[in-house]
Amino acid sequence: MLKKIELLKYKGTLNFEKIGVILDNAQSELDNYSTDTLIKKRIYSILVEALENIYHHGYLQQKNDEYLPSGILSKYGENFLLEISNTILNEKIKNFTKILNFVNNLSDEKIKNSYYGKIKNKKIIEEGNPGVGIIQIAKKGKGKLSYNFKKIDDKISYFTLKIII
Amino acid sequence: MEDLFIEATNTTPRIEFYPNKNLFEISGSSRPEDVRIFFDPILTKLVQFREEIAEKKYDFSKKAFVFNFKFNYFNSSSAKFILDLLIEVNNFYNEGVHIQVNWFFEDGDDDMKEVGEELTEMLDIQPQYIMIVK
Repeated sequence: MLKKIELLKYKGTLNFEKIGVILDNAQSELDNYSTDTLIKKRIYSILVEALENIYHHGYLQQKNDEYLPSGILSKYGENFLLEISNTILNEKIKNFTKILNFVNNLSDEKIKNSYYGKIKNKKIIEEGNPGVGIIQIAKKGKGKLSYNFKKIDDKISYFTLKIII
Repeated sequence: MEDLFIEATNTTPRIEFYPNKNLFEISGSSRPEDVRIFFDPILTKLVQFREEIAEKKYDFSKKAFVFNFKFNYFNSSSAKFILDLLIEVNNFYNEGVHIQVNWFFEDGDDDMKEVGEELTEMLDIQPQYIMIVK
């Protein structure tokens, strides 16, 4: 059984300043647990894209503390694991699922091509209309993105994304 | 043209643009809250500079104008605007301006080297890749 060490945990509302504080804390923790420049930078990059995704596209509900945005960064054996959650409007689930399935069905090489294609062409890729942030997360992570939508009510669900790095 | 100096913050890179010292350098981290507000004025300044060169206000025949891209991190939103800067730099080259482009990356940060190679792939001028050893 692999030992899971929790490096960073956050639960609460997010704004641009709070994202900065979380990133600073993450950087300090990572320096304690890894000397690999590439891995540390990949984790940092994934954290930025995931947190900015919540900040720009998440739906903020303030009725229930259980479903506030949250993030946990852990060291899990040789890998790192980032679990990040936030509320999302139910009407966005279909498109989000499409984006996640799109990147999960691509090889590493095709994810890379998709990312740079989107940056260079500045146009939406037709297959699933994926956000460049999600493609970047898939590009920097290992293996498939694991995700779940837990329905809260008719309007919103709690979205959880797990990324292995 | 006047110099342009913007100090780095936790979310925006440092800009050092010295037209009379043959140097444009962007360095640090980039994840601005509004990426367009940060990058558009810099791009505009580069376009104006290129127009002034076309009017023969500068002479780079003896010493190349150097563009340094020295990032330790940038997010995906910034990547699109960094590409715009590189395309503008390429316009200098295509108009016959004597330039040199350097892309820096930290020792071990293969991703930063890769993104430099990818973003400059379609340009006519290729950067020199310089590894920073700490």
